[in-house]
Amino acid sequence: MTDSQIIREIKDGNVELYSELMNRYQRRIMAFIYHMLKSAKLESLAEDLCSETFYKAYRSLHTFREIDATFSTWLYTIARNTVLSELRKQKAAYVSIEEVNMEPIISDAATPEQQLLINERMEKVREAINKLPEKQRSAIILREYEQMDYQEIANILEQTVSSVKSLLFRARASVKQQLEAYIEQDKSSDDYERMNQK
Amino acid sequence: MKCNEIEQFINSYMELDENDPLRIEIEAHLFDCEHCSSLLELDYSTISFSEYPFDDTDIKGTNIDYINKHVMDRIYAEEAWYLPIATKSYQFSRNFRRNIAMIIASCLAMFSIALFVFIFDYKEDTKSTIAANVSGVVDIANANSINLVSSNIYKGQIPVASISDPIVMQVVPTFPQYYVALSLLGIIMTILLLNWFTRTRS
Ligand SMILES: [Zn+2]
Repeated sequence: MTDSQIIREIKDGNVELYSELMNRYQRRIMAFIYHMLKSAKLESLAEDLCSETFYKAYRSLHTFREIDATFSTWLYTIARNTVLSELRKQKAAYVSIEEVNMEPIISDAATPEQQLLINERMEKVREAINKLPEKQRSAIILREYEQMDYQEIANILEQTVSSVKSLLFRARASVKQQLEAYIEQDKSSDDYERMNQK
Repeated sequence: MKCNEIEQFINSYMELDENDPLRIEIEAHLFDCEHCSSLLELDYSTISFSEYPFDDTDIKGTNIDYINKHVMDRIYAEEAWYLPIATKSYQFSRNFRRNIAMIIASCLAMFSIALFVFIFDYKEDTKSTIAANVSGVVDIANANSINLVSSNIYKGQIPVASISDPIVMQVVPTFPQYYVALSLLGIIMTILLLNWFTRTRS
């Protein structure tokens, strides 16, 4: 059964099929909400907001028109709005950079050195994404991790396609800048070690 | 925008407002065009996001089924009549079912008593009608508790069975039929009620 068939059935009163629709998208919506909340350190709310998102989606299912958007795009829009209103409520939309930097890099001492480096880089990329303003962060998560096309992202963020590209451009530039600082710092500490060894 | 148009703004676009359409245009072009972005030494190939996936282990801890159930419960709580019938019939408590059974049993008892009364009482009534037919307006006299003496008086004086009288009298024996109609209505109501009960949650 396709999404639109299920939605038609639900609108006809076959409500238990909504459970099936949820099963299809829950993991992806959950991941999106989780990463949106992470920079504000509110990831513990992800479950609540996820169920809130699906409930809201059900409540306004009659307003959903397939001509305007696919169901998943529509869900991401609701998820983002839910997260944004929660962040506004918590008044913690952006965490100060100092606070993020204070967070120790999570690393597993038992893994080999190579793995440690990859983990560290991964953590740095994530940290860099978390520091981005909300719109840039949404855009980059939807593009890089949800593999959405520009039009879909534009629908979710209620922006034009050019604006989305511009957001992605800024986001990438900013992430690159942050990573460069990290890599350079890494290099200089390597040089320092080498000098000491001599 | 073309590449040569971009080149004249490329060094100054950062000073434009974030929402400036020109800046958005330039950045959208830079995003797509390798040639122009390389002028800014922004080589994206160095960042490969797919190499650094988000850690999904955090999400794996969450109970997806729990969220699913929670949402469905909320929907059903608000719109109980949508509950699938198969689940609903088992939602009634034992007490509730016993009470319903008692109500239905007493309704049926009332119905059968009414039927019984209808069948047997009707015969008696027809007898009394026959008797009444003999005496004419006797029943009215009886209702006023004027017994035998007065009826005897009428018997003697009024001629038996006038043509107009029986029409008035037949109203009396039809009375028990209302019970039947009422109990039939009751049964229909019961069925409708039961139907409604199956569509609501306890
Ligand atoms: Zn160009």
